[in-house]
Amino acid sequence: MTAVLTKAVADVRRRRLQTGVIFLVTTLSVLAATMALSLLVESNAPYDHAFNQAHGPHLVMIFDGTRATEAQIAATTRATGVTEAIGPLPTTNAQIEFTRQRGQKGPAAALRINANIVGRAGPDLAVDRLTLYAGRWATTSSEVVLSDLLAKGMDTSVGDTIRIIDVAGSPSLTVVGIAASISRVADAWVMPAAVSSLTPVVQKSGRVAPPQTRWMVEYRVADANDANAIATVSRAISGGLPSGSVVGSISWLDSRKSADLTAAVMVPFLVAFSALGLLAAAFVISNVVAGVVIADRRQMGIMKSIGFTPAQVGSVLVAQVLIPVAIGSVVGIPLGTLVSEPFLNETAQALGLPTVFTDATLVYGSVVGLVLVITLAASIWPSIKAGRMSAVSAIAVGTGPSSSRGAGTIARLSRLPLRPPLRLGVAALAARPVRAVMSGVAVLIGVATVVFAVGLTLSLHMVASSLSRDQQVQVDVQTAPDRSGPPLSALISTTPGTSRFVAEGRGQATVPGIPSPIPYYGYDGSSAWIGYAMISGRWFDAPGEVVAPSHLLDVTGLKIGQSFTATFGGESEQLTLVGEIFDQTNDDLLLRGSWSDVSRLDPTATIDEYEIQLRPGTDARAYASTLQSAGGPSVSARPVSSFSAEAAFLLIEGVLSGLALVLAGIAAAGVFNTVVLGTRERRREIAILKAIGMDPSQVVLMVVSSVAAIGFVAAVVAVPLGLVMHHQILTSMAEIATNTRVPASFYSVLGPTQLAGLTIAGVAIATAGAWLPAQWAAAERVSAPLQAE
Amino acid sequence: MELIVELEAVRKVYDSALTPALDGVSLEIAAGESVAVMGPSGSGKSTLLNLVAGLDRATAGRVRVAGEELGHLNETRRARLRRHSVGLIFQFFNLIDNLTALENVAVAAELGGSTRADSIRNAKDLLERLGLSEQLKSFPARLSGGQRQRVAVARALVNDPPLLLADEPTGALDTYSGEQVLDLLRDLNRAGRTLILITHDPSLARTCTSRQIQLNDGRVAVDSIAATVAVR
Repeated sequence: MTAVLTKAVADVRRRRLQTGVIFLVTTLSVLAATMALSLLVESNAPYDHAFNQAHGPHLVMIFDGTRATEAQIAATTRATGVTEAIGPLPTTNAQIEFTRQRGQKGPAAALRINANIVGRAGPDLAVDRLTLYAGRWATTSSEVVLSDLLAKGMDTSVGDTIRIIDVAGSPSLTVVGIAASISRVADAWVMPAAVSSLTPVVQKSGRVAPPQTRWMVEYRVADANDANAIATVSRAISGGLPSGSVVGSISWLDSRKSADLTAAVMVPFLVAFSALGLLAAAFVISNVVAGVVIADRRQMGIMKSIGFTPAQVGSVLVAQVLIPVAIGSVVGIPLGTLVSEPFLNETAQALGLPTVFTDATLVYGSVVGLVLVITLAASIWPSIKAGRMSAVSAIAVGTGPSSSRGAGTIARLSRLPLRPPLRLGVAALAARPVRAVMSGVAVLIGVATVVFAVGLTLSLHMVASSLSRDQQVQVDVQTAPDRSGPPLSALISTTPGTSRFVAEGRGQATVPGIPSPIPYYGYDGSSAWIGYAMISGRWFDAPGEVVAPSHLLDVTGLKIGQSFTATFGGESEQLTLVGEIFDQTNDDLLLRGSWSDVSRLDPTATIDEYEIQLRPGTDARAYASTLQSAGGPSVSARPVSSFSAEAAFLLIEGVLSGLALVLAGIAAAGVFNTVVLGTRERRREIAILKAIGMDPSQVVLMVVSSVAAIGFVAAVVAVPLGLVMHHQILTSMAEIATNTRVPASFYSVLGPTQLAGLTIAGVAIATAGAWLPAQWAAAERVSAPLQAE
Repeated sequence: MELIVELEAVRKVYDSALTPALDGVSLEIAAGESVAVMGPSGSGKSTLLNLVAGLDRATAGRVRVAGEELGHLNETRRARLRRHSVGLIFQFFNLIDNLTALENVAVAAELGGSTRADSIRNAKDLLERLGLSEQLKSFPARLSGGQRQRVAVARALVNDPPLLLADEPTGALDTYSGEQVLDLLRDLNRAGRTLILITHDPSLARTCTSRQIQLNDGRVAVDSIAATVAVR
């Protein structure tokens, strides 16, 4: 055993380049595997993990302080079924004004939003522990901590100030922290004592009433997975209070359903990426290990001749591979964890979760286990074969002229009409076909991943753009139905910056196949420009025509071109479905058509929304502010932001880019290994060619061309493979997310030029991997190999 | 007298060595000469050949071949010099195992700038002249030692270089094959090519070349031309 270890350690020390290559490839592979598995674990019930970590509330209830006393509400924390609770926390709903501040471009413009402000002493209470992303907790009554969603949406950060405008004196608060809560009930937190000063005074019949007081309690309950049990607890809580005390209640099961849906959307591509990462790692490690064993046969012959048994010979080979693999794993796992962290945090944020929980032990154990299995699987068979080889034939390897390996193929390749460096490079592939195939597979996976990543990123941008429609509609205006004053359409027409707009009202309609009424949106004026992507058919252009999302078509069985009768309140109307649209509004069960049809079917419907397209260069925020001021208090104008639509996609894009880079890196490392082994084996051949006049640039060309050819062939296969993956994953994501089909244009994001460019990516990955060893080969002294026997 | 090789106070020290492989060697070799460089193992024979072939760089001194100062040439220009001015023949043949005899010769011609068709034609002519018409499509592993060395000679000649450097060309051959190769080299020298023959065998040096240089510990111990001049 000592002899085996001594020889293995000596080999590791002596062959620094080989050891370095195994180490590099293992480190990258382990990094990718750790990332992939961490994300996969994270995508498994992330809401549950985050909820447990935050010790989240199973039930949140809001109480009216004018009906129940604080003591009565406090007593509910001991209600039957309640195991733990925090509160009563004073809470209020007030209008916050955000003003454009330092570092932001454009003219000052204020935006107002109604927000739930909760009084809370700190982030770490017994229930619903908050994650403080930035800054600190509020310690004075003029400080506020914003929820991460509100801060992001309003582009506000620590140090900014906000105003509570519906409170006397419009007090200013300084943002001192950004935090997230698993319950997502609060938009902002202040010191408990500060809540009363931020509570609007309610005007009742011309008389000033006392500030409206509300209380919030967050409960944990015994049987939290049972909706009925939660309802029972809720009844027990409200039963002990005066009638009308409960203003609202939220069950964690509803929030979990929504979060799990987002997670489910991410699972297909995470699984695809994890599989690719692990597959690439397996191929590259196998290739490296097998290459080392094959290259070491002469040493094996020498070992056997001095008394090593076949088992000892095999053990030396396996050990010299396992040592750098073990070191690579030790380095790769923390690196992978480090690289995964931003993605995991983004995952949490994209899912609307405050904290991240990953079962690291499971991930690390799986990665180490996988790497060991791959290494042993790749090294054991060649080692056994080597151990069985006779000493004489093992020593003979590499001495004298070798048999013409792959002679037939080489002969065919050497007839290619290419210059000698290119021809010899391509012909070299035939000498080690298995190694060439293994490298090709690594490049194939790398290129397929890049194609998939680029395609999916572009598609998701189109999805986000289509959902927000911010390219077509820059400002959205909502107005109260009983608004007085001049018509809003006249105001919009005369506001500087308006390019075009359309008025929108919402009625209801019952359609065959859906028992309850669904929203029926009507547009008064030309609406073809508002940006809903068509899956099939066309946008409506006359009364009597409607468009609808995929889900409605699936549920009702309606086909494009088919007519049906919509009914509501005794009225009925014959409508024709002319288009299937990509629309994520209202559970995807809705109709969009002409306002004249909507108002006829549902006379209670009123125009209450305007979608406005601005002239190029108009500041949407300033425009909205101007319109809101001119329209009066019953008008709410807001710039359309792609933030909410893109937030979930940001993570996907980040993960896509990160994993694509790592996989491309692994592929390049695989090529690097192949070229290092190849040039080492061809050392004598390269020396001969240099001796007969091949110059260094020709040597580089020859070496690079051997793997560039692999890269090209791999890319030719990988591009369609990546496109198929892109198509399948995008389809799965859309189906899981919203039961929608995807417009054809979302798939066709890569044109011939981009596809040609991505094919070249295969050559680029191969060239990047081969460049350094090719330079080494070109610079190596040739005299020694030429004089060796 | 046109000089094809000039060495002036050449010194070569390898990184790992304590003593120089060549130490102050100065030589002049005229075009058309046949010169044997002799000496025991480690005397610097092969180092001298490598420097003249431009395969290695001198640590100090000047090496001039076919009018080019090698110290001033980068690797690419050295490679080009080898293509056209130097033909190399090695003890262990150094043929490319995966190429046939014909391809081994033709690839050198292509590197020399000939078209593929011309390269094949020239390589075939040469190999036929050297008695290898039956072995054109054979891989090196299928050839005898003598046949391999004749392929190596054909490769060295295919670009018609004025200078032939042969490093122990018969060292790995049986007596008969060795005689055949030496006859070939003698004929090539008679035809006007300069021949530098590295050997440790004095009798072979005397029978094959008109000038013998003895190296010892990296220095020129004896140069027969200089000795002759001195006697005169």
